[in-house]
Amino acid sequence: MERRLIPVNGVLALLRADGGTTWPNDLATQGLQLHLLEADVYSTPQSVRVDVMAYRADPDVIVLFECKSGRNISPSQARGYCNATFDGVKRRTTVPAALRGRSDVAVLPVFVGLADDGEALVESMAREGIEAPLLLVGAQGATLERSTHGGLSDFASRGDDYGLPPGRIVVDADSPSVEIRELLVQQVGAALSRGDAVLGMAEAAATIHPYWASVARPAQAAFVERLKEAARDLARTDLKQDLRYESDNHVNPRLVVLANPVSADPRGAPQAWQALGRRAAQALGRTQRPQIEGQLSMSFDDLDPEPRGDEDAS
Amino acid sequence: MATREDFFAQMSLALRVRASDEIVPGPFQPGQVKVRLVEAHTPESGSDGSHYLLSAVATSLGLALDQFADDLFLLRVDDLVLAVDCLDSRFWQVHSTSAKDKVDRLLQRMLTNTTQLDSAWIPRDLLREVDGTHRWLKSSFDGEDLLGPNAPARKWRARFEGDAPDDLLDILSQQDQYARASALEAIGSTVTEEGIGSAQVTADWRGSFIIGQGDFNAGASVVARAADRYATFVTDLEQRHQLRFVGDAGAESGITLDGDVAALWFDDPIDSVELLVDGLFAAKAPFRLWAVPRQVDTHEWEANAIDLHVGQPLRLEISPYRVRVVLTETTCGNTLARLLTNLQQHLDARVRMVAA
Repeated sequence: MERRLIPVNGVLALLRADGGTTWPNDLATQGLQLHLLEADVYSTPQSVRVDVMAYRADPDVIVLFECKSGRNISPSQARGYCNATFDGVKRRTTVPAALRGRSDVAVLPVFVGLADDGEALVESMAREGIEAPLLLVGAQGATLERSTHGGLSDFASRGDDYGLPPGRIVVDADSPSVEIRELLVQQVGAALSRGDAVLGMAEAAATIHPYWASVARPAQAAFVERLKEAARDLARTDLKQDLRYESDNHVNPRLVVLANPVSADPRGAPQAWQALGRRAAQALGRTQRPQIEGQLSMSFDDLDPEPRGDEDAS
Repeated sequence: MATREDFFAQMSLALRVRASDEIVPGPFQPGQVKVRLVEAHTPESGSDGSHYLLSAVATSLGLALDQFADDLFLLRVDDLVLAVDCLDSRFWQVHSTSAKDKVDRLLQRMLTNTTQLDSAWIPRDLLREVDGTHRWLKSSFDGEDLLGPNAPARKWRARFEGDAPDDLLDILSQQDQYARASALEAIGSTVTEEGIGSAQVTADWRGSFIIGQGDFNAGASVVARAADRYATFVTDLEQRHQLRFVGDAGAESGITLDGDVAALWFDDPIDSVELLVDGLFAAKAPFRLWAVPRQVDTHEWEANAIDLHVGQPLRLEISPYRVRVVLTETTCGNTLARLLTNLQQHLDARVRMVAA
């Protein structure tokens, strides 16, 4: 998962009421619920687009999470978070049903960063005079510190077995090319396995972006441009024997399939896919792990592409 | 066109006279009734969608296709006949009284020939819910690929017969040495349907059933209820685990998120994540997943993968403690069922699904 997206995925995991098994869900156990992603809130000195908005009732609280992938906060934006009010929320977006009709709803900012950047973020906030809770997430879990409101309590849920938070959002318009290529390769695999002859970039974009329908048109166009660039790049790599990129006045941008493992004899299909995997790994700048001889290389069992039924069940 | 009652009558007769030389009228040879539960992705729900998909399958495999009754079609090649019951247009029941090896081979061809069809993959707890009095059960486990050659109890096959054979499996699953391998392959059951009759039914984890003796109607009821349970299981997985990001129509801005990440949880951490990664993404049976996995930490891998069975994407995050699975809005629940069930058969019989 892209480092930049770890904080937002950490917050989403912490808010899942049914979660908590493989990653902590302390915010949910405190009664907080996810309301919206990417929500606009009016504030001063500037309005903010909140990465994650959560809430709870009794005590009535709306929490605005600003997810940072770097070591510094942006002072003006941070003040926008800190100065946000319930009226500012109502002015730009919907209020959770549980809080409608309430008047005295606290709005709390929480800055979210990577655990590795904790000290730097604390210093950055102190330097700018920003007093707000700081949530740090990483492969060892999550900690929340410096909360002073009764509706949000500090916690420290750490464990060596957590790993990074689940990747619900693994790409967006700001992702680096390598991440977009990674997901384009997945879409290429899907198209090949379905036997499709082409993969249109517009269709691929809608599938790759986690909330495509809610992305504004200009941002959609920008993302498709990123995808076209990724497709052109892929078609120049080791995958050039498998794919060709096409786009002109008469043809919408697309990848055309030149060779497909699906067309191989079923008995040879696994090797064809494995070979494609090696080429895709090269294209992504990775080395595919070699198949371990005697363990996972093809055996006679693989001549039957599926396991047989219960031979002596009858 | 015949009726579904005619189908039941002809199947009953084929089952009843299977051991005699009696000639049975109609398309079905005398024999045990094999039933395979198949998940179908038809272009539209209902009979027309099923017929369309079956026509495509028949054409690509050189089979003859005829409609026998409402939502019931026959696929034939030589003396082999499959009766495809599409009453539920997503979860088909494929019946045959033809020879088992021929039926198996044709079904394998059908399932691998298109991404619109997949087998059912019945996890341990669901398989144990097969109706009737359990007379025997078969446990088999093959973890050599995923656990390595030195893991204890990495491979076995055993059959327990007698009263309450499930208890024996429970005993095994409570023993540290054997718990990992206490997978359930098949159950043999005797069922009596009041006012109908009795039948002996075998069910296995790949969604295969055999009505071996007795009354076809009684056996078919067992299969139908198992199919209903499986359909509910898969659709529940989709309800819970398909991630849905939705723009809130009532808001000027903001996106809602629904659905939980699934986690396949290991009671005992595995020794080698790398072996598991290699096995999962080898693009071959049993998992048939394809990806370019990426190591993100010492024992942590992630993969944006494709289920080659159905051509659908999913994301996996793998550690010694679990496999997290992130489904898209359209990824089929059967993909998750397949992963869970095959991990139970090849990694650890105790693997269970939880919300991440």
